[in-house]
Amino acid sequence: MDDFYFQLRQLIAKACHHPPKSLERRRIISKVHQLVMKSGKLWKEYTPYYNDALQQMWEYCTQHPEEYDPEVNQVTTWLNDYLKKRLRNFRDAKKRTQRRHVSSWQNSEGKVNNPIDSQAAPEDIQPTLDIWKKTVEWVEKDPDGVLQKVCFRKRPEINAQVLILRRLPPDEPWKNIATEFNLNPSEAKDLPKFYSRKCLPLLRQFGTKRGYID
Amino acid sequence: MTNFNSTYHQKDWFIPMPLTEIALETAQSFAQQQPNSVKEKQVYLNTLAVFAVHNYLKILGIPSQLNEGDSWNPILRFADDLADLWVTDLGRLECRPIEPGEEICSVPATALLDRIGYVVVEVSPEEKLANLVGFTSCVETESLAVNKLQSLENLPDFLHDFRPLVELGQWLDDIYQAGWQSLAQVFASQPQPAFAFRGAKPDQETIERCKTIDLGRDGAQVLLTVKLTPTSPEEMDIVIELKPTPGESYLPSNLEFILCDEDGEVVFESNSKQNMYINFTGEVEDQFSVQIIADGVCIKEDFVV
Repeated sequence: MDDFYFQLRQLIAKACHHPPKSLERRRIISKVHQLVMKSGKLWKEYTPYYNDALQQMWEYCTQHPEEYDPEVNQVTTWLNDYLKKRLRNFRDAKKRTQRRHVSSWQNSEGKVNNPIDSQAAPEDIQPTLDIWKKTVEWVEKDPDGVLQKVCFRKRPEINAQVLILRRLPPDEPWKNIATEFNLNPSEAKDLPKFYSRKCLPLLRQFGTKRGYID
Repeated sequence: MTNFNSTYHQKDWFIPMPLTEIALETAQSFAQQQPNSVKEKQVYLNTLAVFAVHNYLKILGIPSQLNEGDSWNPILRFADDLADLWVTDLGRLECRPIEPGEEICSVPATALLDRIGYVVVEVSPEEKLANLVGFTSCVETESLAVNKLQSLENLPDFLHDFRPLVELGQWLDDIYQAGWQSLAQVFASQPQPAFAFRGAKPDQETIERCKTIDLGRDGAQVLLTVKLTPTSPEEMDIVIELKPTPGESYLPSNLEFILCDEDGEVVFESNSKQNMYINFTGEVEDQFSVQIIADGVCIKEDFVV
């Protein structure tokens, strides 16, 4: 075990000697992460935000190895101290939201069902199913004819519209599509490539135009 | 040095990545958008795998952007089995989920191309855990044997050494490899972009893109520009030129510019600042590479027509 602490201490010291974006620094960080995660030496608690705090600890400490002082404590103690700090922040933030919830509940004078909670879910789901419906509708109608114009190897019956409709869930396996259109093995191999490079960009453009994507 | 032949040994160099609340919530919300339960599960696991790799790269200090990948695009997710993560300046890294104990990882046919590599991720949502088990740089068939993967110990080296093959044919379809920008993008921040646009009106048929090349010393940079004009379905006219970066009037000194054919034979060589320019005709499938040498640092870019 002493070996473990010694090795970690050396790795952190070495990390400080390389610039943050260097390959050497990244190699060292990957070793530190590997050693510590498998050591079982990290503070553990069963809170819903534990993994988020852990991730934040890693992101911070691996970018700031110079903050470790070998005179003060072991590397794992340094990591655990920071981890506990992040956990405290999460706990405090959670308390604050809970307090807000309680006050809104008190204001509603004893009404048990929180109007915000009961409405949030359907509002969240509605627009998402909407995207699905609008996408299918657009592919089926192809109002500007952009999908039917893009064909595989000069075969108008194998166009972007036909392929996208088959690949939307429940998606038809490529094998079946190749059989349906009597493709030879080399054509069958190229079809997914064609789909990826020529058909998906059309959907990407549609999404951007409709404002579903930035 | 790194040994890329070392393979993943059962539970040897796997990387445990606990799944964050934000990852689980995102996966849940992406899954809810799906029209059936099979697709729901696929999207759920894909999203968690991508998130786990993203978080790991973040720890290593390697920037990647979730919303730049197709896996974060709500429309494309319907139409394909997507688990790509955009690694800044490199390209798309595929993050394929497997269930705990699975020994074969399936790769969709559409993910066999345009990827810089494949990371296999064992996802256990109930345990809120993802184990990154290994990676490979290329996949030829739709199934990957987990025990043949490279150890993730080599991932930092792999990403550091990775140079995407620049596929010029794709430029005609408006697809550009990471780092290749239009001159307008590069000069956008400059108050006086005079010399970049000097000359003839932009031609519809000509595509011009450039990449900023770091020469590694004292922050010196050059602009590698490539201009294409298709002359027939099989051929294109190619102009390659080194230019000063925005705001600079001259190229850095001691620069060497070399063009090699696909066998590595030098076909053009120049160290004169006045002549960092070559024009030739490329045929479909032709490969060539450009080398820029400055004070002993050699930067190589590989191209295919």
